[in-house]
Amino acid sequence: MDCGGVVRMSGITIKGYVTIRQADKVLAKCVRNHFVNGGLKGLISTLIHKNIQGTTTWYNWYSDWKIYIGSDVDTPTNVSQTALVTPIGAAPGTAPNINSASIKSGAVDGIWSIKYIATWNAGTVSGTLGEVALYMRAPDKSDFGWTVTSNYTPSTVMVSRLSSAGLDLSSFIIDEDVPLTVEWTVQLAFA
Amino acid sequence: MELDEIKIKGYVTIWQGDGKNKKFIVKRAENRFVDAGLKGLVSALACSAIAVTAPSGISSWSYNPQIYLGSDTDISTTHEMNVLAAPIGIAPGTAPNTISGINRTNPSSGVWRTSFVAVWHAGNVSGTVGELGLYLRPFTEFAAGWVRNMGQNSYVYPLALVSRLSSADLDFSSFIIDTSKSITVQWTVEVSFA
Repeated sequence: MDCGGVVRMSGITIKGYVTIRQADKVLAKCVRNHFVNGGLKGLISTLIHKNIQGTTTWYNWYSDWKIYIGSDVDTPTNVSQTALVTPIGAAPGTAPNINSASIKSGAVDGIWSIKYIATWNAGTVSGTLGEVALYMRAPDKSDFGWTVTSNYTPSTVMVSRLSSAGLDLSSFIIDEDVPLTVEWTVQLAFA
Repeated sequence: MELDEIKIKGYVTIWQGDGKNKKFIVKRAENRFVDAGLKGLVSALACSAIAVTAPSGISSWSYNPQIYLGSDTDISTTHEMNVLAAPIGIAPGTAPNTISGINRTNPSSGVWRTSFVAVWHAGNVSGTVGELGLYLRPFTEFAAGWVRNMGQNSYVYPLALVSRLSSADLDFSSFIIDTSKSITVQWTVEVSFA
């Protein structure tokens, strides 16, 4: 039997890390995010999905993912939160100009991850950055063996957030002369 | 409640008989996940869309899920394991007479849960139970933003071992099936904050 120091595989853990940059300046480095209900319940919905039938498309987690930024500095993240408190731009926020993502295999080190990168061009957003959130198209079905028979496009919901009120990062004034980049890495591994 | 980590756990409860004759054999033993389950979740997060054209369909995760029993008592679960070591019955094992699922529930704040319940009628399986496996149909694609559009072709994701319970790991004590009674396995998967 394996004891201390060995991965037991009794659970799967999901963690999120956020890095924020403006030009060469790193404003947050590998800071742990806080997840909310939207992500949790979506994972169970995925597990209990059965099939899609007919002429149908199921738009899934990755479809139209977004990172939004906000100016709130007073409200820590809580489990039932569904949106940024004070998004910068019209709610849910000003979308980034560029989105990209990559996926990493854990075949070697046991850590699987997806990295989401959002970039706002210089001058696109302004003001104080006090909160950041990752939004994904998490399914929200509760019936075991749920079936899709017509197009299913779940709402894009907030799955995790970083807040200065929760002391995840120090709020800062966006430098409008340079681009703003947020890298959000979601890691899955055995526990 | 710490929100900086999500934990996915699996718990297995086994009993024989029902009603007044119900006898619990295993209560809430923690399973061990293997690669197919973990990779399937990564794949789900990276999925943009799956699509199909009538009259076809695409089946995944909980389409005909299975729980199989095995007799092995020596082999620990490893992450790359993809079948039971010694299934009871012809591989991958003797399917239960009934298998059902429980709707997503939210028993307390920050906890979301589902369960798979398998029942073998009395006399349908026999011998020593030393291992059990939960088999689902996880996604298998591995690319950011993948799309599966099958057009008019149907597709069923393959059944894969996603987690296992083994007496070799001391997850539970092996036992001999009482063939005069039904045997029920309830496999609960729970997502919560760490």
